Amino acid sequence: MFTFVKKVYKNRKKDYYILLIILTLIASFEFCSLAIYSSLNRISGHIITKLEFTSLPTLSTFVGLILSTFVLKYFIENKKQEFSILLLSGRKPKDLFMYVLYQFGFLSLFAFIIGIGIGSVFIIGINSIIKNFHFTFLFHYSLMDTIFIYLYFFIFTNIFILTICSHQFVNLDKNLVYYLNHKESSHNDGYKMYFSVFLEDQKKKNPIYNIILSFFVCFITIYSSIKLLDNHLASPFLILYYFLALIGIILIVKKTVPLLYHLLHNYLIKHPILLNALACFQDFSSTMMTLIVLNASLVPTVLFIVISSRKDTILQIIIMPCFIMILIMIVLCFVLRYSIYNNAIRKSVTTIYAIGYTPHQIQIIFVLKNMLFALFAILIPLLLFTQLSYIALIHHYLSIEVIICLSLSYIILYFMILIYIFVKENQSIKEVTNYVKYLNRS
Amino acid sequence: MSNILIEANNISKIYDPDILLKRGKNFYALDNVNFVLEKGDFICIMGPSGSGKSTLLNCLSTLDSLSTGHILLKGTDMTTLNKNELCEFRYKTLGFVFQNHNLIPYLNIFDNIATPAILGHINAKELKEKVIHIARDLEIEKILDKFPHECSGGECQRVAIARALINDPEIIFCDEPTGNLDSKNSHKLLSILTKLHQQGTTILLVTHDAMIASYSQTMMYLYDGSIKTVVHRHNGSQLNYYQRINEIVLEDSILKQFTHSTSFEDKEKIDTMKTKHKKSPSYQIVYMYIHGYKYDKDLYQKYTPVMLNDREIIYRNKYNDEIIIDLSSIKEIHLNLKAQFANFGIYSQFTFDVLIDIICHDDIYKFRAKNKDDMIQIIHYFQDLHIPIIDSKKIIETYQQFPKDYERTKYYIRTHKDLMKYGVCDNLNPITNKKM
Repeated sequence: MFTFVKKVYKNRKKDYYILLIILTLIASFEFCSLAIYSSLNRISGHIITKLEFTSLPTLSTFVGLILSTFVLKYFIENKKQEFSILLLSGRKPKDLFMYVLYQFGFLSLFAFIIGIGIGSVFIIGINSIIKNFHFTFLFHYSLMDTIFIYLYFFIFTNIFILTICSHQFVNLDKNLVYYLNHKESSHNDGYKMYFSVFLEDQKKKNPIYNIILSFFVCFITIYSSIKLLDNHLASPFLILYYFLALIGIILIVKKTVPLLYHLLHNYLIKHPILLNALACFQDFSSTMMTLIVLNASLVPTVLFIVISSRKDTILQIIIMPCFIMILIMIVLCFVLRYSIYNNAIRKSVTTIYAIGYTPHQIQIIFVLKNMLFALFAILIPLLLFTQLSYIALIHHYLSIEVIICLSLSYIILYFMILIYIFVKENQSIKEVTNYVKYLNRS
Repeated sequence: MSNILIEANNISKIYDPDILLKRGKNFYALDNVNFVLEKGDFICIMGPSGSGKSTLLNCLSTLDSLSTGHILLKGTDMTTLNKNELCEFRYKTLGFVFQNHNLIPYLNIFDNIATPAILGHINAKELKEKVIHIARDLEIEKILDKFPHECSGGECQRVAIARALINDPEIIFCDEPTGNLDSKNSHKLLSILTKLHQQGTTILLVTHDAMIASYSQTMMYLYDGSIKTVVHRHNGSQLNYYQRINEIVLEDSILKQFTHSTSFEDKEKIDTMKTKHKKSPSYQIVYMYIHGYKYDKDLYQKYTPVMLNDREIIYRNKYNDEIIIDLSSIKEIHLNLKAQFANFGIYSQFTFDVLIDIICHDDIYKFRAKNKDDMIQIIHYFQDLHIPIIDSKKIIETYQQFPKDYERTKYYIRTHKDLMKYGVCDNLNPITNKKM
């Protein structure tokens, strides 16, 4: 078993290095957040005050936990065929646990150990930056306490992963033949036909429900967004409108865009680039939905916590590292998920090219898709964030410098993501249009 | 007007070329292949795994570039077309059916079928009618609303055919279209292809299944990147044709089983039920040699070899049919020159090929000989046979006066300026092999 794992590592070195780097960075941020949590816990004060202070590093730690689980789960899910071959060659599902532990247990243990070192360096860095800004508060954490909680999180992550695996292994054991012949394909369940426009005699499905729902969703989103512009809104209403706006945006992506695609189908088939861009966006957004939702909800939530708490300078100090760490973690997972999506889409790009679309047309399709993605996944959360920042500013929760710093880190990180997508897609288009192998490989 | 849709001249393909030959030698996925696809053809390419079937199909369908040689698409050299023009050609002329059907996962079946057609900005109603009409013919009208992952393999393959047909292409390229299908669906698909062929569509199909190949009109057997065998069905029965194909496949398997390599001479064996075409449509680039005499092995491998013996001239034309010209039937031979400019900066130079028209009682055979100094031996050979040679460019005299290639070229540059005019001579980029 160990030799097999070694060979798998050797043959897919690049993938495992990327996984290790991402896990290490997430573990470092987790450690850093826990260190901040530990130092805030040492402050003497009322329990509510402590809870308000520690909520941000707790959020950041849980984001780290969710994302490291997401990354590991995604990697393990892509190993179904490998597991089924092991089962086929006579291994028991119990052996597969050992196999997963050998492969990913070591990786996460390695990331865990390095994470302590890098996390400590991050904390030293954060403290020196705080000193430069002449703040009196510094993060003095207890190393033992932090490592103890950090270890607890590590064990919890691994138990969670093994639980997911056990479910997967039972399914594999039951349907071995299916998984051996299973081909990964894109299942975008959110994109269904609402009615048949093709056959006269076919019973038409009525889209009225979806049209009404879409109108309602659009109305709620716009109404909540306008209400959010009111700077003197009471906290409970602020929460309500904020969540309504957020849910509205997600529902627009999931329901309204596919509905528009079908309602405007007659128009779209005259515009091949627009049709492909919209369809491609739906596929892309459904693939990235978890991260889009995470980004859209977490970014403004950080500010929300600040607004809901009492005014304190310490909060201004805490929000900066926590917010930036959350952003970097989401961006890292985004890069990982995108690189897998980018590989999967290559065959479709080659097919479109083979049937007559020029590389330039394919490029425009992707640019349009990315513009839609940037609008729904990056710009709208930024607008919500800006609105909440403004409220935080006029009510003196945060200083203008902190808000500028937070906004800039958001803009810079997501601008880098967009550039990364643009460069990667251009590379892919160039590669697949020059190399015909993508057409013939299953 | 010519019926030729695609003409490949001495094409070779090397994957991952090793210019400095550090690995010893380059692996030729395609090795000096000639191929002509005419309107209404139904050609099947067979061969063992790794013989170059898919590579040939990809090169002919403009999806892959060539290492050497030329492909003429309706008379236009493929290398002179840019990427956008090639896309336009594929969009207007070609339809593709792949083994893995290659449907776009994020488009439903209707949009998948319509994808190539919507590039033409057709009226929506017209397009819808067209898609439904094709879908009805292929019995997939009930799955138009579905997505590829919701359909069976057979349905997906029929969708791929529908997509290939939506633009009414002149040629359909099928790469192992039945690879993922059961026998029932395979025969259904082939019946559709046969029907299309009867309606006038040209089909080029790659398969490794003799039964599938028996639906075609011509079968070409590829081995190690070269066309080894060509069989035409003509008006024979499908059963006989199938048996003949099976014999060839079996022969090849047994050959592979008991011999580790095919000898140099084995490559020469040509097996045809009956020769279909005689003449080549245009000048065929060849290397002429006399049987039993010393010859240049590099040129022999690079170009189509034309063998001269006591009685006959034997070679394979662009259709890969074996052609035997009886020397006694030759009335006269015309010699001419064709200039070629290799644009390579300060090392740019002109080269000259000898054009040989062999005029027989019933036919004219046209060759563009790539022979170097040994060309004079060929000319002497014809002279010895007392065949009249019309030499308007005084080529024989020049060969006698300047036996060395370099001196002769310099002489031609001085004396044959008319051949070097722009538009008369071929202008080539020696690295990319593209016409400029």
